[in-house]
Amino acid sequence: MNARERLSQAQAELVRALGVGGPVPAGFDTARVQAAAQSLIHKRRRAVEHAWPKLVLALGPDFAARFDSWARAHPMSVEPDPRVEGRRFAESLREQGPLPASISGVLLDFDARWNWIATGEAVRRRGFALVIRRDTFTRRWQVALRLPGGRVMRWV
Amino acid sequence: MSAVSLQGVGIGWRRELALFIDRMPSPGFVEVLAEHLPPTGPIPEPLVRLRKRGVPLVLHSVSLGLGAAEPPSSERLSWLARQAERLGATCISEHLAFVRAGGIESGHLLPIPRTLDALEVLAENVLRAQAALPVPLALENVASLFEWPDAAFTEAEFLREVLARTSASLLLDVANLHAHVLNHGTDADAVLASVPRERLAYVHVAGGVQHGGLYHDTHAHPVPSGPMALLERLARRLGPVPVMLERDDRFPSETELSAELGAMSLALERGASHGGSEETHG
Repeated sequence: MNARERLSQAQAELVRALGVGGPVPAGFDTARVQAAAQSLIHKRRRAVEHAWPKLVLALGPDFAARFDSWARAHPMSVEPDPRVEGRRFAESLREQGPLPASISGVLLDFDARWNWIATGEAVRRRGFALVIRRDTFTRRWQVALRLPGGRVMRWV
Repeated sequence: MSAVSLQGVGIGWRRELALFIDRMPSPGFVEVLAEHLPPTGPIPEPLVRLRKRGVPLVLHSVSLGLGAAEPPSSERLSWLARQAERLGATCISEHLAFVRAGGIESGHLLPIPRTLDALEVLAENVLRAQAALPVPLALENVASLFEWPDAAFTEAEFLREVLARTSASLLLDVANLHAHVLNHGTDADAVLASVPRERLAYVHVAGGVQHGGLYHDTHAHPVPSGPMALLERLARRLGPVPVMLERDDRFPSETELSAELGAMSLALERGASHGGSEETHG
């Protein structure tokens, strides 16, 4: 192995320990690496809190614990975009149970404005964009229409 | 003089600080985060105003990962070069760190091992970056809660090696150095002594907090006395150096911010006025 290959292996092991709870590589101070892992999750959460204040309000005191456990299971594969991080987290909540109506509306609004993909990227939509879906739990139809210029109309 | 000729006391531009920065009578320079600039379209109006006022702008990047096993991609480098040109930046700074490995983004600046392997890879990556960037590159020391095992160099030796093996300048973060003094027992004076004035682009100062027996460099708390004292010691060696405040979160009142910037000026003055009592060899 050359220098790059050796470094590559060592860095990948460390990032797994920090991002997805992989084993702490030999020689490292385990408690310190775990403290760093916790601090990385905290940083991710803080960014999502800024980007999604209504989600924080809706989940109340549960927000931190639920976000942290989601974040550990969903490492970032592209550069962190807290808008998409929050949206992906909300999607996982939506799969687990009914969301407060206030949040459904916020998500619909977001989806009409942003084209986001599960790997974590978002592109701002342009022109007309229509989002139609049926809520898994209430079975009600939800519709959002983005108009050129950016205004979004919603029927929830 | 450094290849990067900044001076005075500056600040890191954040949307939340735009008004405060607009009102600053004469910021020495302003640092702008490359990742916060829109990828296309016009640059934010307050930055255009700063440029018109003649305030030098520095582009700061956190996503290249110059210390990574994988070299910085040409897409990433051309994106950064484009941002520097759009902004009219006088220099670009990046970290002595890696941010991704094995397909996972850490979302943070992770320390690199202080080994020959890492040094060799870093030097190659830096050369590649310099070849792609339109303005001088400055490298910043990072703060971390843990260290890699089996270091072949001390932090001071490692910085000297980085400067010897590349033509890059240094962005010395005294808050990160303060963190390493507390967390790892780093010899701060040895690090300060490893920086020749002609290779020093500028200095970062930021706040942090002690938590669970470790110092966290948060950029969200007041600047403690430690980094200010390091700034003073640096000025004692090198005279007044360009320095700026980084504040990213929990933004304080304008009075508090002004007080921190004032304290930085004072630390520079105090240090520089006591200069000459120490040797200033590089």
